[in-house]
Amino acid sequence: MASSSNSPCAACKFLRRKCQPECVFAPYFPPDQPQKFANVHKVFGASNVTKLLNELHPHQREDAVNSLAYEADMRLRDPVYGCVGVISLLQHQLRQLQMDLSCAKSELSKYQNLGITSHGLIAAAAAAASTHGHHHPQNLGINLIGGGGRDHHYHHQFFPREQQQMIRTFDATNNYDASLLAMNVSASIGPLGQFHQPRAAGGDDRRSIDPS
Amino acid sequence: MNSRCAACKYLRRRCPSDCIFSPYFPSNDPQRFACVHKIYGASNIAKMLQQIPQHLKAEAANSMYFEAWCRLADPVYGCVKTISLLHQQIDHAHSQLAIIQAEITFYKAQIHEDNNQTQNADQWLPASTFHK
Repeated sequence: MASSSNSPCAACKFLRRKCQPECVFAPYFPPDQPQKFANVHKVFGASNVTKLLNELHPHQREDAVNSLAYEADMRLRDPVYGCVGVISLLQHQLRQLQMDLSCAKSELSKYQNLGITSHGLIAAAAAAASTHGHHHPQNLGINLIGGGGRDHHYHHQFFPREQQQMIRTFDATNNYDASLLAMNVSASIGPLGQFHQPRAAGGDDRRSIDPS
Repeated sequence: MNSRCAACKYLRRRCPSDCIFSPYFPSNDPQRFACVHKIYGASNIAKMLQQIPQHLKAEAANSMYFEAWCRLADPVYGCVKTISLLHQQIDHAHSQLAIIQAEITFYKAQIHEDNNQTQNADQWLPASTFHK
């Protein structure tokens, strides 16, 4: 997987050194993506990246490099908040969506609780109650539109507990101003999609991170 | 008087009066600097801080510390995993919202249809009104 002697990897090109067959960077910093290594080098430094990669199994390194490249890109776009700004923005979006969901559920339940006496709806309700072991017998429309397999429990948990704790501890001690964060990251959200779905961004068009 | 900041203690050097690290890496929290140093390195932190306006340096130091902490906790994905998970949660919430909105639309359509049927049925009531 290492570059041949006449096509050094982006890292060795940047560092102006010979790209050895066993170069640790070569598999992850191809020569056609110079910006990727340049960013990572600027934020983390080559020796820190080497140390990080050497502590990982080879099968983990590509994901690690891609996530480092993403962090570096975000940090260079937003030197103050970096990825933290993106997280803050996404949390805000999620909270907004949850409020919208809450309102929508409230509106839906008004219809469900109307006690509509229309013959059509009563028949549908009877059919729904008898043929589906649904835990929302008054949800007349669920099986007609959403499909029987739909789960209407949505998660209050934003992310795994350890990440939640991380964010909470960070928030508690640092008290970020949400509006300031939002202003700073308004331009940062663009490349997020490029990282989440593979696309040629600052050089990373290989694959997206799959946290699973 | 000789109170070095956590960074200068870690780097085993004298802490100058204009030390770039000292406001953000106090001596009572050595782990904070150790963490960012491991991920970014002292010179990268200093360079990044130097380029940031004074009133935002503290925020920058905090965010670097957070990202470094996440990276040490998860060396493969760091804080990017959180971003990925948030995206998943947002996508899920969007789907849920779409389902509920579709159900609301269904109810509204039913009500509208029932209202129409009721109006049409009324036309067949007491013939004296409609049939002469």
